Amino acid sequence: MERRQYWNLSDAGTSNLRLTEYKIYGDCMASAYLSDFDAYTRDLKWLSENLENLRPKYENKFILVKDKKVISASANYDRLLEDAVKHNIDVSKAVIERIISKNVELLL
Amino acid sequence: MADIPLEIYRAYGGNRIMLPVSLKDSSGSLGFVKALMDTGAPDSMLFINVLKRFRRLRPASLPEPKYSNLAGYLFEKRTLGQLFIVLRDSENNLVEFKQEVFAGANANEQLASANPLEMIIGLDFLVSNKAILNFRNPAKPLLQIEQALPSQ
Repeated sequence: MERRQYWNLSDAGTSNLRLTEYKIYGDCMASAYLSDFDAYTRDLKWLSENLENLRPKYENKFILVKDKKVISASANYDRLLEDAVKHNIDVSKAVIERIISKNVELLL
Repeated sequence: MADIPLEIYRAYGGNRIMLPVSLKDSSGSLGFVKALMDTGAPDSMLFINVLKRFRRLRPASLPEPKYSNLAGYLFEKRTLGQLFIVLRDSENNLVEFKQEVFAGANANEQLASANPLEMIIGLDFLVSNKAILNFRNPAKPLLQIEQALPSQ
């Protein structure tokens, strides 16, 4: 593993220095972790591309997506997590999204 | 310079800059989360629903109570301490950044549990890592992380 450290100015206008750690992993990173990261990214993209198709059925519900499929849906987040456990899904690696109404745009 | 490819995802009623992120703490991997790049947010923050997915995280109160109102959702701001934000760069390497991340805890449980947001990467991350949001090629936007001065 290659590991580099850089001193970095933390905030513009202040003289505080903060150590920012910056690491680049190579082949030594477990392939399972990379595979999980890729799978999560694929599901996130699939959800974005299919959001409008999913909305009529799942509007105002949380959905759990795994392997480009909606595995579970519920208006209650805790219930969705309970359901995921029943499906033996590790929720820490699953895409979960609340499908908000078509005419609502969150301003952030 | 580390180049992180950005994706414009359809989410929260519009097009958003989102990043798939892996989070770690000192004990190892916590899991994956979709992070919204929000230059209007001062701090990087995880929201209550994600804390339920990553059960190991224990938010600590700040010395003085602070509240965040985001898209109508009110949160008490707490700290999760230093976490590792792991991203994929354009060469498919994993790039890791250590940074304090805050938690949006439930000021109003009913509203907070309906909050669709999972994580925000705020201005703190962009400033401390001298990051550039580069849309010069609109088809392939990038988050460019400038390397700062090397340590002694």
